[in-house]
Amino acid sequence: MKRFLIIIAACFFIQQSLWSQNVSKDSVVKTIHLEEVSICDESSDKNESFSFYRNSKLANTEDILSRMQGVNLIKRGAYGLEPTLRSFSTGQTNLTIDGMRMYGACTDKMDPVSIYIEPVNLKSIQVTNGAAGALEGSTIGGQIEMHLKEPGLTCQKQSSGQISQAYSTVNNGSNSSAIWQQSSNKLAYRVSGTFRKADNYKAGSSKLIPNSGYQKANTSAALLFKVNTSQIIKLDYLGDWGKNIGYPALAMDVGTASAQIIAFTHRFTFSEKFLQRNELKIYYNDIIHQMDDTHRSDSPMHMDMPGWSSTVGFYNELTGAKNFKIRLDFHRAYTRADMTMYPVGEPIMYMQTLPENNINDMGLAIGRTFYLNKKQQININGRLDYFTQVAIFGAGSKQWKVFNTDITETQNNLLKNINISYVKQFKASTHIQMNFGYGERIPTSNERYGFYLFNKQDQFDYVGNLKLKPEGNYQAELIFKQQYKKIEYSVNLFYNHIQNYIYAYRLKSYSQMTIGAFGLKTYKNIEHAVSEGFEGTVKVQLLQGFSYIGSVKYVYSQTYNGLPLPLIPPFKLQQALRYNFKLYQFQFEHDYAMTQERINLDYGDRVTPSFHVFNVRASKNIRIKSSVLQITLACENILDTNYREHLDIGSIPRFGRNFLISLSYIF
Amino acid sequence: MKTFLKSLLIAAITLFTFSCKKDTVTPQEPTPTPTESLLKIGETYILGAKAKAVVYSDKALVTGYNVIYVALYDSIDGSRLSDGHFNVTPMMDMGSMMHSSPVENTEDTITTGGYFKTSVVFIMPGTSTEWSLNMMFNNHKNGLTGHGELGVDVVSSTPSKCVSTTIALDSNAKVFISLIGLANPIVGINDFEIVIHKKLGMMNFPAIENYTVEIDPEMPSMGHSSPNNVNPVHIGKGHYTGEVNFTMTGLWNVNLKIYKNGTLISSDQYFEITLH
Repeated sequence: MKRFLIIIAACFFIQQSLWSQNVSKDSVVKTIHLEEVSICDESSDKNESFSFYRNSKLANTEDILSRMQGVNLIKRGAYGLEPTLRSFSTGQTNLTIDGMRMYGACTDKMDPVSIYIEPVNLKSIQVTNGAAGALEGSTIGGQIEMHLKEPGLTCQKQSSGQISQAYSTVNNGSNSSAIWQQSSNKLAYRVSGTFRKADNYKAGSSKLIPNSGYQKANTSAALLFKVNTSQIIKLDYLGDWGKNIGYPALAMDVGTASAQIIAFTHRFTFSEKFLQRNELKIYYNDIIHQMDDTHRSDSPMHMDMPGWSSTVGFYNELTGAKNFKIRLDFHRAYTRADMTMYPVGEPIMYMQTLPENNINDMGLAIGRTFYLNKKQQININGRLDYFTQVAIFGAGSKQWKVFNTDITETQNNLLKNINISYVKQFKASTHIQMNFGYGERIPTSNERYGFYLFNKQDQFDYVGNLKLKPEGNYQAELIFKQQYKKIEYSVNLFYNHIQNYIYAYRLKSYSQMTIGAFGLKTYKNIEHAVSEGFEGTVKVQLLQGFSYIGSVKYVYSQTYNGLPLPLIPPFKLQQALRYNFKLYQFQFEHDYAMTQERINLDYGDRVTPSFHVFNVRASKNIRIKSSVLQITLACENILDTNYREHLDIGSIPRFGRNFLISLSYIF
Repeated sequence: MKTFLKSLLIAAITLFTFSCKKDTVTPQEPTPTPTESLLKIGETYILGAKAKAVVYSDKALVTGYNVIYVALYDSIDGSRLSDGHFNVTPMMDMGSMMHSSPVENTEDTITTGGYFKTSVVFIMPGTSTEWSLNMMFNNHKNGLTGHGELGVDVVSSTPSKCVSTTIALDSNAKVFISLIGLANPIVGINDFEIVIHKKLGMMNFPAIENYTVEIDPEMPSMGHSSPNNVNPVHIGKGHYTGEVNFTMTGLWNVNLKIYKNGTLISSDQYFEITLH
């Protein structure tokens, strides 16, 4: 099984070199690293590329994600970016927090689950591609799992904390955060909070982007209690409140958005040889999302577009020797989105753009590793999901009658996922892995029940198609890796053959609903689509203190009849040169993307020109008694280039030249 | 005979006056079926047919299409009359001139549910001194024929349930299009029915049976339509039925396109429908 385990030093710029032997054992930085970062070393294949790029604490989760191999972000505003995995987007991938399922409440995908996580409460992000990532939910694209930080038990009473403040010039943005943690041998807790506020940002050449500011508060608390030597109970709470979040690429902004997540976890550690651990988690989350147009002067009439999402679920995961894992889970989600318009002097207009609906899912997953000999192993994991999707009788289901469709008819789907991977180690330096898998995913609520949902990219309204079949993806991947003392590189080649690919097409002679839209579209299963590509990383240790990393990613995709799929990023190179000197660190970064001319005109893709962006960062740690003060300075987009990435909706340019400063006090 | 007529007139006036107060005057007051849904409009004697007519409708009379239910009673013993020829001629007295309006009289000689059912399209509003229902009854019980007149108030329907237009492409015909039903429109599928009449003279408003009608519901403030509407087709007597779909609440205009022999002859008429 191919696993990218990304260990994130979420809170601060860790002054750690690529090769640990270069870090002096008694350095301050090393100490901090051990205290502050819980390293979850579950995987043999961690994403070194990412750990190199660990950003300053100014970075939000999205910045962190954007540096990850295989990950690209769909951007709609300065905030709330939607992660895609090798071109597979929300619905095709699973994005979870501590294994909990959540569904965005926004039909415009303004609220991917990743926005609820802040660096101060993020322990790690784990990306698994394809069906190998189907252990926690059926998927064709893979899984992005974010883990919340949790307090650790310590032999003696301990408390620690951190206060930090960051500022960025491009959007007059400030980011304040604090962490407090206390632990003993029985009980430990951790609380953290973040407040962010930013004005409209300036793109390259000082072009101000209206409606791009935001405000956001986030808090999380975790309590861990040791019942006895084999049992631990953990309670988690996470709350997130956004206000006036601008989405320049869309017709509306977010007025207020709130998310609440609560979870109860019970861990049982076995003393037997084969069984290791059983974890039971029961969780609930609730999202309310209110779109707002009161800051838009071009809005033809005032409208409210609230959305609701809540999910309740549990999982029980038993792990044992030889990576044995068996997991049973269930979740039930409710989603709904409304639109109320207030024309002047006329009656209120009301519609459910996403009719009230429920998704129920019962899943069973099993995984195991077979060791053929010391150098060869086979990993197998599989999962079955039984989904039911049904709309609730009400305003939304009545609307659907106009299409002669009864959406209250329950849709049942049995989804199958399997992945087999073969790993072989040649000598100590060479490693080859082959993955073969098949995964499935159900159509999303939008794809089944959506009612005149406007897509800004192609300017069409969309209605769902109740009778869509699940997408199925046959996938193959080859990973080749060589590691030497001063140089290390890896190449991944992947191929996906997606059957019943869900593709939008125009319903001719049907009227749009949204003012200014060009018409109406719906979805159908097309015969198949293909997505293939490669990723590569090379790391070199140059002179003493200098290190270099470069990574490339590329995806090529098309439908069975040769049309490029929408929102496919072009070839991209990200590279950096780092210099460590005592407690100073300097880093020079270069990002390059090629022109993307393979576009899907139906979807409204536009040709995106190539760009080069250069950043420079410097950091210094100052030791004050037993605490540390960290200072980070950075200049991003030094040349003030006006550029955009291909997945930026609405062709809104990205940040122009940006100076950042951050201060952290860790005690 | 004269005294008899006189006393009859007095009785009629008395009853009429009483009826204005409330419809619980006489012990032999009929029980309309269904009782609750019908509103009493008024009553009058059908002089010459020894009958009394009590007129009901499902609501107050408005411009546009109205269904009226007439219960007839023997004016002597008060018993319900169910056999006869009955028709109504609506009449507008504008002082200087008089005209009628489209009407659909029943051809049945037996009442249905105790009533003779007639439909009237009032083409303009008016008071009870202007609008009247002139009723003719041929009483099969006694073989007598008589007439009665009942003044009625007709108020404007808002939004209008009857639109009229002069169609140049159809020999300058003055055409009245009336919406039937759709009193409580819902989000989803609704039955849609209209009736079309033409004015051929002050007293002649025949139904038009050879038009082709297309409908296109539109939200005027957004400019969008709705899917899968069924264009009304002629089912008889100038009535055209189809289905109209609404995707959300609010104000909708159901635009009408009218064709004759394949030629579009009118496209500027519409009905306003509000969904709450």
